[in-house]
This record gives sequence, C-alpha cells and structure tokens, in this order.
Amino acid sequence: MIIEALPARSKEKTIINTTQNIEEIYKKYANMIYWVSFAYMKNNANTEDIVADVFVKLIKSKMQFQSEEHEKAWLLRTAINLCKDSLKHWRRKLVDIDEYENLQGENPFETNEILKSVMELPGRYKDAVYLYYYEGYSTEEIARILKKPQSTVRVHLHEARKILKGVLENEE
Amino acid sequence: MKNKNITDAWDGLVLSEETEDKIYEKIQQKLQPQKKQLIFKSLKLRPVLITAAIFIMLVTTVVATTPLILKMLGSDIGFFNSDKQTRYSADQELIKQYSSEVNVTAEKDGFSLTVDNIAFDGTFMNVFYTIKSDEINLFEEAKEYQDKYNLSYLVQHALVINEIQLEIPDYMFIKDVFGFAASDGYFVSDYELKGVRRYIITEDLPDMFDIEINYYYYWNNRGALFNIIEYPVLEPINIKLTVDMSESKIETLTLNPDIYATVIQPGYCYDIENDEYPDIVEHNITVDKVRISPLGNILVFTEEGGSSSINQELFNYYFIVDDKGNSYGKISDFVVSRKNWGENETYMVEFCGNVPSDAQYLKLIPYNYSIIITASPYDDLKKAELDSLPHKLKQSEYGNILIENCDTIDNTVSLTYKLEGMVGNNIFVLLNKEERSLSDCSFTIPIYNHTTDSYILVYTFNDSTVNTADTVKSIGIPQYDIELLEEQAIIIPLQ
Repeated sequence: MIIEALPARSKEKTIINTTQNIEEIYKKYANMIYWVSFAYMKNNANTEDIVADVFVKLIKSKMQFQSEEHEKAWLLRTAINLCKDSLKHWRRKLVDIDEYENLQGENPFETNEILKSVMELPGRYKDAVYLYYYEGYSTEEIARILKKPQSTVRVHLHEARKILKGVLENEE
Repeated sequence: MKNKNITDAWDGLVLSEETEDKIYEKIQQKLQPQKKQLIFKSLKLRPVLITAAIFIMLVTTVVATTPLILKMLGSDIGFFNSDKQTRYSADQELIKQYSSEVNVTAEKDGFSLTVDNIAFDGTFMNVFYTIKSDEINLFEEAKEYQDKYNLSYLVQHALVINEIQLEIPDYMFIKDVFGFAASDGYFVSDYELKGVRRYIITEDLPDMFDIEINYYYYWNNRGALFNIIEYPVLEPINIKLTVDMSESKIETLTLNPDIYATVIQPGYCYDIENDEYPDIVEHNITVDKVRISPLGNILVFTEEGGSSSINQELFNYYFIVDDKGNSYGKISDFVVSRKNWGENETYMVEFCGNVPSDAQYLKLIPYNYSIIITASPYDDLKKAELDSLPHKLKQSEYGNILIENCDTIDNTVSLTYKLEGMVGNNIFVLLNKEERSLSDCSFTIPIYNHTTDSYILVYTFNDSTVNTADTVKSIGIPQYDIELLEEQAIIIPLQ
C-alpha cells in the first residue's frame, strides 16, 4: 500500500490524485484522529489544524504501510506527537491564557462523565488508557506507539485503572 | 482489552460533516503553496507519463548515483581527524583497516550530504558523512531541540542494501528488518556537521552488493525535527554505491547452529490482565546465528511467541561465556524481525570481547535474579565517588563493574567502565551530593573499545543548562542476587 497524494474527496474539491484512496483513509480515521487530538488540544480550531497536519504528513510521507493496523498506528502516533509538540509550542510562546481560552468551544468531554474521568487523568495515563481500553492494543503495541518502555505503559495502566475503578467496571 | 464503558462513551463522539469538510479544506490549503501540488494536478491528466517525469525529476535533483565500487581495503577516515571525541573514536584504528574512501556528494534544497568513508567487516558497517549548508545555521537549528534530542538523532539516516531497507521508517509492524543502527557526530562549524552511523547487519551478503544511503531532511523544518520513524516527511537526499568485498581479507566466523532449546525462567514482567507477576515464563528458542567479526560479535536467536503476550517477554536474562572461562558483555540487543504478533520474534545481541580462536564453544547461561532492596532506595546501591576513580563496584557474587573514568562536560556524563566476570544488565544511577538519583537524562547504547576492553556510556541531561561537573558526585549500581540456571544452559559449538 503506497500512499502518494491526496485524492478527490468530492467531485469539485480535487487537487491531487493518488494510487491510494486518501479519501477512504480520511473517512475512516478522521473521527478517531479528531477526538484523540481534541483530548489534548481541548478546542476545535487547534484540533482541526492538528488533524489537517496529520493528513498533510501522510500525503507527503509516501509511507509504505504494511497493513491497516500499521496505518492506523502511524496516524495515532503522528496525531499524539503533533499535539504534544503543538502544546509545547504554545507553552514556549507563553501565550496569554485568555487568548488560548478564546479558542475553546463546546467540549463534549465535559458532558460525558466517563470521558471526563478519562480526561482528568494525569496526562501520561490518557494515551495508554485510550489505546488499551478503546482501541484494544496490547501493552507491547502501546509501548511502540508511544515510544515508551512496556513496563512504563503497564505501570501507567495499572495506576490509571486504580483511579478509574468505577468507570472500568464493564471490562470485555 | 477493550472496555465497554469507554468504547460506548468514545463511540458517542461523532465529527460533524461540516467539521470534516472544514478540515479537508485546511489540508488542501496547507498543500496549496507546495510545488508538489502542481505536479499532482498534472498527474490527473496523464498519470503514467507524469509519474515517470516526477521520478526523473526527483532522481535528477535529489539522487547522486555514482558507479563507485568500494573495496574496504583500508583508508584514512577524516571523521577522526579532529579533536572532537565521539563514542567511536576509541576504535578508530581498527575501523580504518576495513574502510574505503567514498567522497560522493548529493545536494538538495541548500543542503549537501557527502559520504566520506564506509568501513565494513561483513557484519558492522560504519558510514561516515558530512552534512553542510551554506544558508542554514545547523547548530542553531539543533539547539532548538537540544533538550530533547542529542546529536545521535540529528545525524541518522536510513540504509538500503540490495533494495531492502535496513531500518524501515516504522518499527512497529515490520516483518523483516535485519539490522540495527546507532549514530554519533559533532559540529565542525555552525554550518557543517560530521556524523557516523553504525549498522549491524545480521544477514549474509554476497561479495558484491548495492547500498543506498537516504538522509532525511530535518533541517530548517522547525516543528518537524523528529526521528524518521515518526516523520519521514520529505524526500531524502540519496546516495547509491556498490560494495565489493571479494578482495577483502576479513576473517569473520559465521555459524548457523540452529539449536533449539527451552528455557524456563521466573516471570519478571507484570501481567496487567491478571494483575500479578507470573511465576514462570517458558522461552522456546532457536539459536540462528553467531558471527564473530573484527569489529564485533553478534548472536541471533528466535523465540516462539516473542513478546506478543506480556507474559512472554523475550528471553533476556542470560550470560554469555566460553569454555575458556571468558565472559562477554552484551550491548545493542534488539528485535530484528517479527513475523507476526503472537508468532516468532528474532532478536539480535552484540556481545563484546575477543573470542579466542581456539574456543570450543559459547554458552548462554540463563539466570534468575532479584535486586537487593534496603530500607532507603539509595542504600542498596554500591557507589563510586567521581573523585576516587577508578573504583570497583560489586554487582553480584558473579561479577563486578570497574568504573575507570567519568568525564563531566556541560550537560553530559561520559562513563568508561570494564566488566569483570558475569555482569547482568548494568544499570547505573547518577547521584548528587545528597545521594539522590538524577534521572532527568537520556543515555546512549554503550560503545565497546576493542583495544582497552572498556565500555563508554554517555548520559545527556535533558536540561541543557545543567552543569554535570557540579551536579553529579557519584555513581551507583544496584545489587543483584543472582541464581544461575546452569542446567538450562545452551551450548553453541564454535569449531
């Protein structure tokens, strides 16, 4: 599977063609990338930029994915890294807190108790919880996605599980 | 393991069509000013012809193809002709014996990549190169990320041998990677950087083979200075060469023992599903290959099941000894091939030391260990004060670590040490004057000096303002209580 460029999403919007249907990938993963990024950015405008950047990188990278799993993991990791980098950039610029808060719109994480609990976890636990309990990745896979030692991931999950005890009652 | 509450909640998050369209427009806008857009616009019209044209254009602008044949018969290496010490300087005389001058340059976007030398002994390939720019201050660019990435990251590139990529830009699901690489480098000036990348090649290669060096374009790209594994964003600068080993006099011993063994060890790894540490783990191992080369030794083995399950960590706790009573330290252990999740995983380890030519066999001795814990987390460490080096530290009843030297320069600590006897995974703890651990630092893979039989390990503090000379006062190692599992040892005949 070789991705070369961005194809037409709808009839009129085409600017780029490709051997692989990027629109399919966009349709399949835009939602996932958006909400993973939103968990970091906490506002629509910045989240939209992150999602756009993820796909721009995908288009430019000409990545050769071995499988759909690989493709998905790459997208997740790229999104998470872009968010972290973006937040670092914001912090580095010492942006006025009011300016940042003005960007915030409706936050669906605030209206759902379970998601709210997850979002209130310390930052280092959030990714692991999402990837383990929602995406169903193993700790080994999560370690590779997040570039952390597997033992660290397990500890984060263990700690997070203690915090989320009530939330995680229905484990499949 | 999915959780229904979380999946239900998360599934309730749906992106509106309006937002989807808005993001799609943003993607188009972000692509708009790029030249590639024009190329791909045209692509719609006559895809085949235009694709060929793009290929030719990329080749002519990015690739320097030279029919240079390298014979690895020895050459001077400019990389070492500097007062800058790198982790590889220690072995320079040895490396020079297996090197060839290259001096091929490719340019792109104001950057040039020159491959200066390549040294190869049949297993270890060292690629020496120079990156230059007339316009961009590389040193300033690198400083931006100094807190996170050291020079080893900035100089890395990817190597392709006979059209197989040695390090594919994503390790996660790759099925056949056959090597491992480490890097180092230094700035000659603000606009010039010299680097070396050391590859370990586990596959057997023919006498003549093609190599391709792809340097990914990090510079002047603020915000995207990342490992290529994450962001292979732009076209690399590319140099192609041919290596001919037919005249080289390198003596490398390659064995394919194909020994199958089962090792049963205690479980060291926390099992989150069952919320416990497993009692034992069964490792089903095949020893695939042993290579003893002038620039190093490797051992390759495959474990059934690999680390697909957290209950089955790859067989990792063993000593390597020979029939002469020599012990060999291990560095650069790495998974080199993963067939599928849950199936086999191939693992490579570089083991260090000169194996006598009359040695009859190597022995892998599994061990069981526990770390001795005392009331205070720092009391259990054996410590060496930096101002009283060299200092021998006992790790267990089977081995010691001799700390020979410790250089504290800016925010780095460079440790030189020797292993005596059988030493388990050697973990060092840097301590301040209050004997508290200083952990906000990263460290490189140790380098082995073949001449002195020492190892060099470099720690870099994440905070570039840290002055390690003032901060680091002593070094500690944890105490191991080791039980050898001799009855399970795997013997690999060498003759």
